[in-house]
Amino acid sequence: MERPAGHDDRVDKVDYPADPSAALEQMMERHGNDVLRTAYFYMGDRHLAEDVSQEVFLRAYRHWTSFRGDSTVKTWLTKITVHLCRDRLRRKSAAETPTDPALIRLDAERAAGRNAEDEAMHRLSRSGFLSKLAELPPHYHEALYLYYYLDLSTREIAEATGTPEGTVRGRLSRARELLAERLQREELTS
Amino acid sequence: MTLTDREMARKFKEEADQLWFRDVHFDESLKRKVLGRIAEERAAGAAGRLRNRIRKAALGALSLAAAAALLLVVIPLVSPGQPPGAPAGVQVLSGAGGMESAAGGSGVPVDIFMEGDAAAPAPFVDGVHPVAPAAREGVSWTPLSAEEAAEAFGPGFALPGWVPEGFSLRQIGAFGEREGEAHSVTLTYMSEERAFWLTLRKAERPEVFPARETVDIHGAVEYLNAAPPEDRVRAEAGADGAPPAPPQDTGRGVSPDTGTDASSSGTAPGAVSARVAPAAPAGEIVPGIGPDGTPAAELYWFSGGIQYELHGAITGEEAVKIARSIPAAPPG
Repeated sequence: MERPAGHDDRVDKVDYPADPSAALEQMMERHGNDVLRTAYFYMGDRHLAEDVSQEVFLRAYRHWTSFRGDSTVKTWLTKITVHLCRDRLRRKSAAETPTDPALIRLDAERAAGRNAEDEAMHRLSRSGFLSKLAELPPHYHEALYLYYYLDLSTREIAEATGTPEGTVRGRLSRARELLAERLQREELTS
Repeated sequence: MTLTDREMARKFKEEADQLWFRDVHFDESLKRKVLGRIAEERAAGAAGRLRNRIRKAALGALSLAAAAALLLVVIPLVSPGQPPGAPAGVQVLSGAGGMESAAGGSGVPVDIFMEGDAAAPAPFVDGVHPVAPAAREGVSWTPLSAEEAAEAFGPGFALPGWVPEGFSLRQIGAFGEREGEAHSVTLTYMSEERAFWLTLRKAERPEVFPARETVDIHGAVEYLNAAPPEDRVRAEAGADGAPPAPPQDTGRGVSPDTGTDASSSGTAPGAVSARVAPAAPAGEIVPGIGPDGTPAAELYWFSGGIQYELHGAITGEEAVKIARSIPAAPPG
């Protein structure tokens, strides 16, 4: 599967400064939002996401000199983020229900005194794509997010998540079919 | 990517940015936090290296003392030339390298009675204390406030009532079997130029640390590694050894030996206890002095089921004052 159009991050390690401190500044500038949002996607909690994102950049800083640049820096950072999030989630009580990214409660809404969940669901119901994504089984969410939002290729997703590329391709293909079906059905209905 | 794919990607991003990530930005505040944590790590790394050097120096001194004691106990047993009546343990090293009795020899006297070592801490084996707690498994997290840390740690948690001017509490780290139940808490205090760390760890019994000196904290004998006062450094350095750089703050303060105010305790300058390691020759690493000449100290004490560890770029006097400003934990 080709890398999605719009992927503009072909900046590899050679394009970054060799000095870890200088490289860190550039990594945070270029990929800070992606790392934080990916952590938010997995953790579903703003504070935990911020904590994870800080840890991601700390680890990137510590291991910068040993990072060989076999993948793009973005893929490398995504891999660290995914691993850290999974590790944190594993440590959480098994009794806790995993957070569905589609039901994220925005802090701003909470601060504004609105019922965050109602508001999120209301907006989700008006959205075309994410409401359909929310209907899919959870294991499709990760592949769709990494592919469509982060613009990673299937090979990069496989590397970042530790999943065989064939599995990623399969999930993505099936998720696309399901999404397309639902979107078409909605268009016909409307 | 097909046209449908491109359309999907566009919609996904558009809606995700609106619904999920509207207020999720890696802003300057987060960048500063990352850079701050790296600065703390660097400072901690420097302090850790220094602490290792101090510990090695203390261990070296203990090893040397033990070797000397062994040498001077074993040699009389195998020496055929021991004059009758001479004290069994008192020996002097002759200028020619042989052993002679104190009665008839000449050279540098060596004290082999080692009274001071009767209370010396147990030696470490391979750098690890034989009764040191086993490594624990668990999780670490960052409590958002001292109150949260206190709740997670339980009874006995208290902050210092005094810290050197310019220092403030910057970060709290907690470790425990599960989040919210802390087995240990580490407080990071920083000023513009210096940092120190205070760790409170639940422990069943006091741990023993290799120490240059002992001090009194809440009525108990505790362990301090820090630069000795300037006058004593000079006394220890000897005639041919250049004295190491003195700590920056050696003015009126608490004596690391007695734990009392140095100006009123009557402690004679130059008084050297058996526990104090000799000063290093010029050019070598001096325990208690950082590479850049800043002071460094570590202090360990135990109270009410809590083992306290304090280390960082502070003087011994400051360390003792900080420790004494923390209320003694109630009996565990």
